[in-house]
Amino acid sequence: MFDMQTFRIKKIIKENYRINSIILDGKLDAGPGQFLMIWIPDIDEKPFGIADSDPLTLSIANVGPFSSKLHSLKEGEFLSFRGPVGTSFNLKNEKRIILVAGGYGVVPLYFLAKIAIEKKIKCTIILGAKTKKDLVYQDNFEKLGCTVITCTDDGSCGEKGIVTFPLENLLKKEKFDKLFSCGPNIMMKSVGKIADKYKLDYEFSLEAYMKCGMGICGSCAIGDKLVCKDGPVFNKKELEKLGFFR
Amino acid sequence: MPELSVNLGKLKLENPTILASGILGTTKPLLLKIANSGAGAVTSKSISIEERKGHNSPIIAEFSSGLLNAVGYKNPGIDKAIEEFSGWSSKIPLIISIVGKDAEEFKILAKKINQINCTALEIVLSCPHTPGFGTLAGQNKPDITYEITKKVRENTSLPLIVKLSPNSPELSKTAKKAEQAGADIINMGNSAGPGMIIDIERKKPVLHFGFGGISGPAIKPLSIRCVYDIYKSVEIPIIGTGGITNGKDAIEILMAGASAVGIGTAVYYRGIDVFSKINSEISDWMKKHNYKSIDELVGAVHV
Repeated sequence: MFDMQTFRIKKIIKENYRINSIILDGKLDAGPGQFLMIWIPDIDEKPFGIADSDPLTLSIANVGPFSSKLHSLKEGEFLSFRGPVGTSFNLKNEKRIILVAGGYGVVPLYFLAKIAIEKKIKCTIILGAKTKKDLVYQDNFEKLGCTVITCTDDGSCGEKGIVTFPLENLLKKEKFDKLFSCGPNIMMKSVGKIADKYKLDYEFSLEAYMKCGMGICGSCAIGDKLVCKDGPVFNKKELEKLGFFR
Repeated sequence: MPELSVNLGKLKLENPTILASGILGTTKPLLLKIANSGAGAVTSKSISIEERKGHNSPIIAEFSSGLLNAVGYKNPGIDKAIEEFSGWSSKIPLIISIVGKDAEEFKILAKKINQINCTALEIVLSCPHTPGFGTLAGQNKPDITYEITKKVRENTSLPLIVKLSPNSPELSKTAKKAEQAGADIINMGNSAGPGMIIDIERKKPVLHFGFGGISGPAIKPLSIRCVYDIYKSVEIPIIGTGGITNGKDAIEILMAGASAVGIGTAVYYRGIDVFSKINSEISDWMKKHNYKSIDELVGAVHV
């Protein structure tokens, strides 16, 4: 049953000027890459990535009316959602992986990094953001033991430019078993091309406009796939078949 | 092997299963995938003249024996839809579903659909959850059904399917009026109700719209009775829709008088290969009971 679940907010952490992490009072059986359909009664229901499953943690950027409502919630109040929804990132026998995050794509990749580190997989993450003040989770990744590379559009932190520059520089000199990425689709298209050039396998978590989160309404269709049900995580072969890079 | 092909007048199907409108029919690739998964025909999501954003989410909610939905006819509008669905290349029939606020809107839509290479046209007079359309606009009444059907008939030569609501006070009369106005096929069934699901933790209805159409196993007996009733009042073929989930359900509604079955909510329960699954279940049952063709099942309960 795709049931509504209600948790209480245990703690709210201000990550930066517009991102809050919300820690709930329980855990959820979920994998990295899966997401929740968060419901605010009388307002709407929208998809959000999971930053951690135990305790269930979300990181919400205040970018519109819905997320602004989520930011107005206080510790002790209810948060309702349906899920987890969709597919997860797959870790197999990798020894060393690279994560590429654009903007809020960092959220599910943090969850993935946490699991990878538990499995003794070495993680490098490239964090891309507009400016220094938009960068989040840098400390969290460092605390996990990940190698963190940052870049910003304006050069206010780390390299100046988009994630593809540090990515290509890194792949030129170092070897990884797999790449995982989450961010704007346009960024991941470039990331995929670079990974192909260095014959590196990958999985991406795609973004799409969603309405039902149940694989019925067809709002999130890309070609003949549903991002909410067949995705959001797709592997290299699936992405090629989808025509993602065209 | 039992013969699964059926003829709904001019509309010929390899098997009796039809993807009902509103489920996944947003893009041509998705419809093609379903056509390739064993469906006898596929129906697009309903199209209106202007783009509609639909209701806010949640638009669909699950309960123990079905789904409740209030999507609100989210669609890109007729012009973009024509672009999307043009160039249908499969041999599996494509049914285009349209919705309008009145006969005039239906006429405009029917004319525009002539630009698409589709197999049949379905007019929906039965949505229970969108103000201005369907039952909320009284389109389930006999006279309005007649007026809209007639207007569309005058403007299309495609096989015309009229989709009726199980919540019609004068159902048999409404079906008869659709037939008199020139409908080729009745699609008997849409989601029923409307109904409501309340989240007891938040003390709020789960659907943003508050209420929505009930579908799935919960409404199967209602669909069976509706098909049974209208079989006695019309001569044209009937598609039985509402709660059909497996081969035995399909046989039940065929026996009530349907010549084909609409499949919607069952896609959620059994995946998109639900069509081939239901077909093989129908086929197995027919073999076991020595039926050779679907025709022998249609209306069997009335004999």
